[in-house]
Amino acid sequence: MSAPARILDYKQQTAPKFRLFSALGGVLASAILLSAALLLARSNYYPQVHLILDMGLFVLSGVLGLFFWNVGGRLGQRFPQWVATTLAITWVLDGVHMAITMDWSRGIEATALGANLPLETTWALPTYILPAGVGASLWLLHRNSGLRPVQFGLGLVALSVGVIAASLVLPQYIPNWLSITQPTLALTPALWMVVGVFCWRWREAARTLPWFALMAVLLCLGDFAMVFSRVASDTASILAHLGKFTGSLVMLISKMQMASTDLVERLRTEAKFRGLLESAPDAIVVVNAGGKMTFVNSQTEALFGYKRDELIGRGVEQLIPPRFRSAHPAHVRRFFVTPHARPMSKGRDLSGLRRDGSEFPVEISLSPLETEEGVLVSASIRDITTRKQSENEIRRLNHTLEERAKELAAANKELEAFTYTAAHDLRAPLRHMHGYSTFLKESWYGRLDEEGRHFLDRIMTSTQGMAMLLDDLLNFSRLGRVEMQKHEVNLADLVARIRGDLEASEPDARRVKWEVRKLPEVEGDLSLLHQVLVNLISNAVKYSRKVSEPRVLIGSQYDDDDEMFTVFVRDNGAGFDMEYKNKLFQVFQRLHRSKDFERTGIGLAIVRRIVERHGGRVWAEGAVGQGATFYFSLPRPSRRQDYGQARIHSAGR
Amino acid sequence: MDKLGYILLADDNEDDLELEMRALAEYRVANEIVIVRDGAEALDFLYRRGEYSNRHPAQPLVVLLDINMPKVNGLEVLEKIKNDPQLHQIPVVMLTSSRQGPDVEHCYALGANAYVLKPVDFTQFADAVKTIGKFWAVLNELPRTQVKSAAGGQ
Repeated sequence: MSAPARILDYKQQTAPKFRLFSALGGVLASAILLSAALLLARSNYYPQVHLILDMGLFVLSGVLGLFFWNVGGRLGQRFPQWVATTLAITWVLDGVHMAITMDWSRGIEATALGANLPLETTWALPTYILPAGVGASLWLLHRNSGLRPVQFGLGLVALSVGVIAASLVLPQYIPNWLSITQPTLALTPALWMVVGVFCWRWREAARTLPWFALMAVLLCLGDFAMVFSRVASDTASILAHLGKFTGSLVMLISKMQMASTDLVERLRTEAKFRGLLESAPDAIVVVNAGGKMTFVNSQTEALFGYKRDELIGRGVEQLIPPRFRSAHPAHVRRFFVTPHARPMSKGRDLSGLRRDGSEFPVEISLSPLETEEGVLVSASIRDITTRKQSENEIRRLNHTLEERAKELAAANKELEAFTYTAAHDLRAPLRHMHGYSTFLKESWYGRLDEEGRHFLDRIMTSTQGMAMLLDDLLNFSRLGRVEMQKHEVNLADLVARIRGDLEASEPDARRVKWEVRKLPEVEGDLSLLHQVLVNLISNAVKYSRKVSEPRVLIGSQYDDDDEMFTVFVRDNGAGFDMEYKNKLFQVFQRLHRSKDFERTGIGLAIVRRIVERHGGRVWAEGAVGQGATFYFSLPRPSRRQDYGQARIHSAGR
Repeated sequence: MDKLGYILLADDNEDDLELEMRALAEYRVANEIVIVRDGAEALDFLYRRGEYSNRHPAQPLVVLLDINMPKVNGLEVLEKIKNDPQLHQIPVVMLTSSRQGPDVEHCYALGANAYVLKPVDFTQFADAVKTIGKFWAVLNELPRTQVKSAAGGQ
């Protein structure tokens, strides 16, 4: 949840810097000019001048009051509102005073300064109320008070009423020099002095305070001049009014200058903001609380096909497909209750409506904007047609994949069941055939003629052959399924063991002249690699047994380029025709008649499958009658020290 | 029931049975051999139920169980035996046609005493059967209570 963005933040703006000397200079210059004009003028016009200045002051304080009230309300600040309240009260009192003292034919002088207490009070009271109100406002501002203008105003009114009542009831108890009806108003200049000092001291609190200080100085001077006034429109009185007038004027001018600066700033900020919105990659629509669009950027025009003029001021429902329209205003209202940045309608598919009536999927995120016109909502709209399409495509592909995987899993399960059955149920009859044949051979062999014995032997050999074939097949089918247990495997040890086993069980192996060169350590499944080497080495023995001096060479090399070890097993036996080399490693492909070399045709297919599962490959070279070489490659172990060993090994060759 | 005790052989395959009997006879295993044709019958026999309700109370020295049997298979019989405090001391040897499948681990997990592959080659097959007979029926020492019951409760 983010705080509403303020388009305009007065506090953050660069206020026109208060230049004390230029301000004072301006004030002095105007005061001197005005005084000179007055001195040149004839004193018998003073009453008229007095009237004009009083009326001017009346208008000025009214305008100033409105100004402060407006600013305070807009910014939600109390200080300008308290000042405005003060100005309003003095404005009313001044108005009353003028209304009851004025004589249009002769000016103010004729009626002023009678013994009429209320009249005097309406004149003197605002003179006190103004510095008192401004001072109180300043104090409250300093205290960070949240006092409402109405309470503040009531306080001031109560004070005024109290003072009036006191002057009516208790004039005889009040010392003469304290009486507010006395023209010797020593107290007001002092009040203004204090207010001015504090305005200047606390000038950081608000940017108008230096101007307040200046105003206070001018009003102080004016009220001080009033002390020397003896009749309504003498020179001192005119100067006093002039001081007050200049003070209020300075305030108004400063306010106007600030307002114009603010306006320029605001326009600049808005231009910047619009520029930002304009350059955003998404379509952005700003909507007010009434659901009307107040801004759209050019991406919006492009996306929805409307011109800007066709959207501004219209309801945002124009961009929404009809079926969603009825619910939308409620959504807007709900957003404005608790405005915070969020994606719109999480989890629901949203659509936009183009001018031509076509719809497209969108993603919308909302964020509140606090502006001069109140809180607005900025909706950032993204066309997600392409993404939707890719998502659908991905979903479809995933579905297909899942289906395939299910089918595969089912097929795999069937295959497993099949191999299980094959393993058990196909072996049982073989076992029985072999068992009964054995009994037959043990008990009836003598009673059979040579042909009968031959048949019996063939039956037994076939049974064994079939059992072997079955075992190989099952083994082969299992290779794809069993999990590999990878360890470090020392191929030299493995070859030595296999050679020992072969020599123990096969007489042919003992005839072989062996040459085993240096072999690497690799990473792999020991029992699977054992199968590979058993197959290759026993093949080498098998196919070279008809040679007078059978030789088997086992060795390895390391290839730096693809970081693979290649192990080879070479014999000088029957060999094979290179034309059929591709058939060597396929299931049930044999290049030799079974009469010459018994085998099931699966051994090399097993070799290939195991090596490929280890990330390597197999191949062979050979020529008929000149022996064969079978190669398989394995990746070097991933650890560094093994690499080092491999390098030494490779260099040693 | 003679004093040597007897072997319970559960196998549904007549050919296997005949070969197994011959192999045992060839070694001249003197113990009596009781044959049952499936797992259900094996359990009936061990629990003296049904047609075996009147049999002699002595339990076998060893049970040879083929894994693939109709009705109740060898694994289920094994599980029953090993989970029954009355029976679990009886040694059970599992016989199977192949290494395929998860059977070996499963059998040992259930508490089988041995797991024997029936080789296709009859000579090897005969050796295996003979060895089983010799070991379990002659060499193996059973706990006293079971020897008693195996020997006819005397």
